[in-house]
Amino acid sequence: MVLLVTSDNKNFVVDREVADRSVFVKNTLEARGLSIATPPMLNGGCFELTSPFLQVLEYCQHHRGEPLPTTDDANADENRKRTTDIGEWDRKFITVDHEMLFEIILAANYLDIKPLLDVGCKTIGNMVKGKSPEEVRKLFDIVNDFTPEEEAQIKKENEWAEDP
Amino acid sequence: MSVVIENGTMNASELVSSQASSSLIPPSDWDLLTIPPEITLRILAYLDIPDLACLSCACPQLAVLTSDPILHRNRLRLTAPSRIAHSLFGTSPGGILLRPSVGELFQRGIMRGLGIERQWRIGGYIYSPRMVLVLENTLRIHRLRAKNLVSAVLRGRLQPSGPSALVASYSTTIRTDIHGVTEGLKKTKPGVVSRTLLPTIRSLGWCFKRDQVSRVVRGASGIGALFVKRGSADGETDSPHRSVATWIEKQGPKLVPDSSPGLEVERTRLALCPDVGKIIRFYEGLSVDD
Repeated sequence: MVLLVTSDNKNFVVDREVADRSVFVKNTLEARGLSIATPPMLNGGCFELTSPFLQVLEYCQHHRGEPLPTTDDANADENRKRTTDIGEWDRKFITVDHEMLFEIILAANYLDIKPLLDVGCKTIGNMVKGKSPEEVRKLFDIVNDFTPEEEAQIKKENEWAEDP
Repeated sequence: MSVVIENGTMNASELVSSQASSSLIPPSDWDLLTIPPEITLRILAYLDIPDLACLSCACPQLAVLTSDPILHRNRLRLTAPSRIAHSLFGTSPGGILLRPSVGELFQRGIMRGLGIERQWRIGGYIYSPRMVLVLENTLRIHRLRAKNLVSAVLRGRLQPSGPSALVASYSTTIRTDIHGVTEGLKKTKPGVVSRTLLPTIRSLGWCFKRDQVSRVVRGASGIGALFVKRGSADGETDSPHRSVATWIEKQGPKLVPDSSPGLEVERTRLALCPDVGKIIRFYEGLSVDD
């Protein structure tokens, strides 16, 4: 059993098999044996709050024991393809609000859980697909801080990519 | 995530330190613009050009990310691998090169320049301008080293400086060297020397013989006097050629060492004045007609 403590001091006791879904945790455990590992800060602070961590744990519980993806980059690209289809369970799992989605992605990135990171990125990619710039701005609460000239320039540059 | 413990109880002090390190309040308003750009790029990797164009219109920060070269390289590798695989060094599924390799291009003389060819022959190939600079520097150093070596040798050889010393050293060392080489080559069996070298060796030998004869001629007191005579006596009907010819006629047998066989003498004469051959042939032709 492994005890995991989040940055807001909630303790979780999980199976080793579940914890091993995270390459980060796995490597830490293998490197440090039974000792304590204090991970380095990322982006100015820990973001492993209880709420996303619960989700991540749920994901790890569901996918426990599956073979970890190889770290080989070329292979990963091959496997990734450009299919944006997501598994049934994963799709249900990932239907959360935007804030939570980003937090899960960041947690997956931090804990190095590649499949979960891919699921999150695919989900956001699917959200963006087929949207106009205005819709994208509304979707992610982006303020349009282009100057009119800049916007005209960008529009002109991307004219060729738009649908006929 | 701040503490990982396996099968153990947590030490109190360690717990405190880990809590101290994790006291930072995480920002909770993550969105597409505040997450690290690496993750944004990961998301963008799932999009295609029209969507990327839309995103670039949405916000300047995204516009920068959507034009990331590595993102587009990966996109091309996935959507149109042939675009990249069909480049200069692409291979067909059977493993055959679709285009000529660099080596073949060199052999055909299409790719050349800056010592690349030489580099290619010795097994290396240059990919960047930086490597060209490195190669040129090594060549320069080689040349400098050779120059220093030669000048050191020359300094050691020429104790007295000046042009006369140079000439002296030339005549004593180099000329004897060459002479020794040709003499040595003459003595070697025909099979030892490459057949293509034989004419060169022969002509070199004749050069030496001619030099020898010309030295004898120049050294003879008579020849100088002949030219002086021609210069002073205007009414003299003797042309210089005739006077030289008569002089040679007189000196004839002495010009070549007596030890040489008759054939050698004939050859020396031919080498001295090639026109003699024509004249001889003309007279011989006359005699045949008779």
